[in-house]
Amino acid sequence: MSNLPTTFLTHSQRVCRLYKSLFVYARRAHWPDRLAYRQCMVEYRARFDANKNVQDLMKAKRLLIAGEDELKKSMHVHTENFNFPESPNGIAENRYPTPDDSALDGWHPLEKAQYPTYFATREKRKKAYMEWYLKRYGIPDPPMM
Amino acid sequence: MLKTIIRHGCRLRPALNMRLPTSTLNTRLHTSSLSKANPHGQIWPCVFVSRRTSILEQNIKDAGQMRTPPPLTPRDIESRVLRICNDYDKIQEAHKNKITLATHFMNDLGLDSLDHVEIIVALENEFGFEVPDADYDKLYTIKAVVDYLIKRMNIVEHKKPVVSSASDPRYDHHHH
Repeated sequence: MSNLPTTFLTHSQRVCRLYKSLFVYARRAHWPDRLAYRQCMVEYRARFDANKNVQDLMKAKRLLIAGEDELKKSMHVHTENFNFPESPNGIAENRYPTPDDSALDGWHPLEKAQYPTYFATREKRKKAYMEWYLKRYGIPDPPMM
Repeated sequence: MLKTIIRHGCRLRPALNMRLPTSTLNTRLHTSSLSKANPHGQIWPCVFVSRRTSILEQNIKDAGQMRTPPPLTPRDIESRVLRICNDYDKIQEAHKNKITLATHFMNDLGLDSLDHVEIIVALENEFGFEVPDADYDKLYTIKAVVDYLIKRMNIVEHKKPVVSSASDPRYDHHHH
């Protein structure tokens, strides 16, 4: 959940995020031409550096909001994020989930017999967890229907 | 002629009206060593046999390369991160090959925050996943970056398995 904004962002943090999302935009807009993508990013960097020493905070904020609007307007045609498919907001997010640990309980006994040490320890761990749960929370209610 | 060959699947037996003796086991063994006739006594042109053989050999070669790669270690991550940082042109201008794990991007190398974002993007492209916005605010030293990547990629250093016999060449250190 670390991709969700939970804190107030300072001005420089907002500038950094705008710059990083410009990378995402340029990579999608020029894909697969990496040379054009690099050219585009160099031009963006020059535009950022031109306003590096603005002392007036109101003017800096107006510039920042103008940049964010420009990004928003150019980004709306790129609906699918294929840059990092398995990352948050990617097109293949959660496509191959890690199987739940309880899937091991469904193994056939002959399959379990191939790893005797692991499954013996696993039974012990499960028993210890159940004891801990009963001690901590008591006997649980039956599940609601 | 062409129609016949296509219908019989490129076998030349009906076209040439030729049949090799396959009645007894001895003759069959004898003919199969020529590698021109299949067990049914049909003649296979040499080109097909050699082409099939070369395809099978290529398959065997490919299968030899499909081994599971060795697991990533923290040292691999470290060297890749150092390589990325060394390749960045502003770091090359500032300190040529002098960066270590303790190097701070801004205090030691004099980069600004946009350069830091560029390095993070280069790392994303190298490792193939996205670094969330809230995470790269803390990654100002190379050590912090390496630790973050190790934690994110679930990399653990495995000890070498202890085995009772050293006869297995996989675990024998003297052969490497």
